Amino acid sequence: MKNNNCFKKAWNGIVEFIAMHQLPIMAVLIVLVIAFPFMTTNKYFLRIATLCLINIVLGLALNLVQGYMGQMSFATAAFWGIGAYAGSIGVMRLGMSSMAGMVFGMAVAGMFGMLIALPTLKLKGYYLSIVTMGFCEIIRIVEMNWKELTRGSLGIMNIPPVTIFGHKFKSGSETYIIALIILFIVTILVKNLVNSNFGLSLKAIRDDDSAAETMGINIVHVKRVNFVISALICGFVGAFYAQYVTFIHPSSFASGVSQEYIVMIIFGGLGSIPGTFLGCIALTVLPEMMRGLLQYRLLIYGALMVIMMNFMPSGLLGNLDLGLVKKKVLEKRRKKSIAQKTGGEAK
Amino acid sequence: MFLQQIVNGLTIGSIYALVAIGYSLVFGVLRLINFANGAEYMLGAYFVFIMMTTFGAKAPLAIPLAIIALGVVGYCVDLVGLRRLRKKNAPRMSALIATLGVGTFIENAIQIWVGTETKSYPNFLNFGKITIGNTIISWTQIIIFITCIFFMLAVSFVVYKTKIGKSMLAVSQDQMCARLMGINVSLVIALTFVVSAMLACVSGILVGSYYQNIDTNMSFTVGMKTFAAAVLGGVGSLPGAVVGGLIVGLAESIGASYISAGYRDAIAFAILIIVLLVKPSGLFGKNNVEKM
Amino acid sequence: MSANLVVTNLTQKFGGLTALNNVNMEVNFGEIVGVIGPNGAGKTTLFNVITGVYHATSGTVVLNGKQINGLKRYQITRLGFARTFQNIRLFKQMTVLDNVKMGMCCRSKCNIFDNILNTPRRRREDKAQEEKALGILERLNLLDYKYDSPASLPYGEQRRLEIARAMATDATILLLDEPAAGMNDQETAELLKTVSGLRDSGYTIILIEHDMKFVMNVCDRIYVLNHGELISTGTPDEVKNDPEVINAYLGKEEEK
Repeated sequence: MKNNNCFKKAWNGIVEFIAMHQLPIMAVLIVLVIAFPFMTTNKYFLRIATLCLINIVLGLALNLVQGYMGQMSFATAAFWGIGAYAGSIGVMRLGMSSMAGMVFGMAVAGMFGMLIALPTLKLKGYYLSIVTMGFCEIIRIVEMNWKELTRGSLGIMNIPPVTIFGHKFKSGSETYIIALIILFIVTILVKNLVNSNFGLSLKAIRDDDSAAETMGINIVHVKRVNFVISALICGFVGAFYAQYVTFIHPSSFASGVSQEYIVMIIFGGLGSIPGTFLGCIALTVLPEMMRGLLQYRLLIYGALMVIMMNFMPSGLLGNLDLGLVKKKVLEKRRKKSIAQKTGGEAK
Repeated sequence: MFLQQIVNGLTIGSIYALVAIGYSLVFGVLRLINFANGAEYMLGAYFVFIMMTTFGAKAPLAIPLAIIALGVVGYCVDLVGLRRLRKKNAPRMSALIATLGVGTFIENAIQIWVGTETKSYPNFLNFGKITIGNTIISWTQIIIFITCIFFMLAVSFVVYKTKIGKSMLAVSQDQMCARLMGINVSLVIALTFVVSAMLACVSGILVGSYYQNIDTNMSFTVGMKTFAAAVLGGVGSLPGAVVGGLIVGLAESIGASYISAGYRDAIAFAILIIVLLVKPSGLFGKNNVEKM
Repeated sequence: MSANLVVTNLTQKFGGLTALNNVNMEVNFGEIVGVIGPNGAGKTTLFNVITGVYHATSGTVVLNGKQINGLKRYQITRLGFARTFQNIRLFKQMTVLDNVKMGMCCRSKCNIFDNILNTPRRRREDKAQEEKALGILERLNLLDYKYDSPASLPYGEQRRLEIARAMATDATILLLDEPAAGMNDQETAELLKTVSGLRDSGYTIILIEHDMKFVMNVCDRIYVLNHGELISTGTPDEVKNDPEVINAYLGKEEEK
């Protein structure tokens, strides 16, 4: 018990330190991740790192729906796949540029997001989980069967790589940097969103949707907009992914894949941006490190879900809000200084 | 041809109905979607398969054993995954995720054990067929249909006529109050999971012997279809689950032969979306009055 | 003074159960109106109909000449109604301050792009909201708890936080559902001060309460419901001495 307290104290100390020195720590981390491709020439490491970045973006998009809005969604892989297919088809058949392809992928995914959101999110309860689960499977079926458009089980090959202003980003380190920029932008946008009034409304809906509605929130509208934003992010990064790996196949976007993202954010922390980073990085890197266990990966994920829910329902870093910790520390210090002052006067 | 599709549709529909009843039971009592139900269905089918092929057991031994084993599994789903969460009064999504986790675990355990390739399944219900005009009805189909009806009636009897059923109803309305009335809430909930897992097991065995092959995708596809059936009938309503299951089976069988077989699995989803658009409470569902 | 909120012939049925039967009510600007009655009399149902949780079977609710029943809940809140809940319904995973700020979301002038891009307009609004929320918290004596989770607050504070959240919606009419329930005498006395203070700063208040001392002390007028019907109305003194009311609470006197 005493040990436990000790551990807790140490943890709190670390969290407080990080919270109070967010800017320098962030700066160091950013320098490190930018420097990463120049420190290694190992293609395999770069590929894993890039996958990490892509997964974090998808994890953030999923966390908007699952962590902040409180609705389990299996649509991550579907929107990711739609973005990948739409983007590739846009580039290869409609003669779009690389960037236009990404925007096109994003738009198409957003449109499908809207189609799902319209009938489903006007309802309370867990219809979204069921509908997205089916949706993901349907998209895979369409990708498999609509051979004229998607080449079915052959997949789409030779997708032109990312090209910006005529420069082809072929090497691993270059695409890594692009992925990093995408992640950076998405993180800032998501952070703004969840800290805004919109984010407050989302969290209120998660905690008690009826009460939120009574406090003047148009909950159906908020839920729909949020779901579409999540779909847009997935679509964009899907199109980028297609141009990065240059080969896509329906099996990459099956609903089991969605489930992996659910596990990632549950592990890291529902409703937490640092948690999403941690969960996505850990569950992208660990399986690569433990190749021998690859066969048992999903088995372990299943057990992990049950264990996390029972013992750590908000994940490793769930509900960790560094901004709030900082505010609390500042408040404590302010009170202390006031107490000292008044104490001094009293003497 | 059309009549043939109706016969096929009713057969598979009655199996969907049986699984959907399991969903509806759990949903009715706990307001929880049990994502592990599809995995239980698959486990039931594979259990018999393993017993008959690996251990050489005969069907009359393997089937009752499988049903009992699945009862135990259903109990464990509740015990391992959910009991602690209930005690902590955890958010409903935690429970949802826990059932999903249990489901994933079971599915992958089977995949690791027997592999992902399609297995041919022994048909122990093969007693020939009847031909009426140009419609062929096999005895397998008749037995499946009758078995499903039998189990539906049995479950309905338990739920509507016995003390256990009344306890379930009480727990579904107010757990705290039911506990104060001397009902063993944990036991009632566990029992609901046991029954629903057993129903899933029976359906899994029937579907295996009907198609004479099984694969590890079966849990996912049936999950989607029975969700659709349960929502169509009105989640939580037993007659609704039966009607919903039959309709989904019929629509699928007719749709697959007249539209495209490739999109067979998409039909249930289309039904689901239409129901959510038109009448989200389903055919037999009640409109819940929200309490403030 | 002209009536502010007029409820006319309001009936609410659930299947065979009539929860409200032909209820008429008028609330004037700046009043504190109490709604009392035995358990199951339909008091909370009345609140639910006014705030749009239920759509009345028949009858109207009119605010300043505009019919509001039939509108959606969030629309009604935006017209200036805000309520608290009988069984406290705070947002448990948000801080106390965020709970109050959340009440202001419905008045936000920012669109989704302001929110995503964190534009200067959004930042200005956020600053104003923060100041206003702190002001409300200070007024209700909750400032010390601002970064805490609402679940960690004592019971009376949770009830006050619900009032704070309701005030944050810029409401003019507050509907308080049993604000003094579960409070001790001292807390109730403080609440009494708070509520009459709110009236003095221009709020109109309708409250449901079982604590008779509280109701009689704070309310200007009282409506008494029993079995969904209005059985008496008037000043606290009038109601206190109405034989119908005494019957409803204590049961009919046996004829001798």
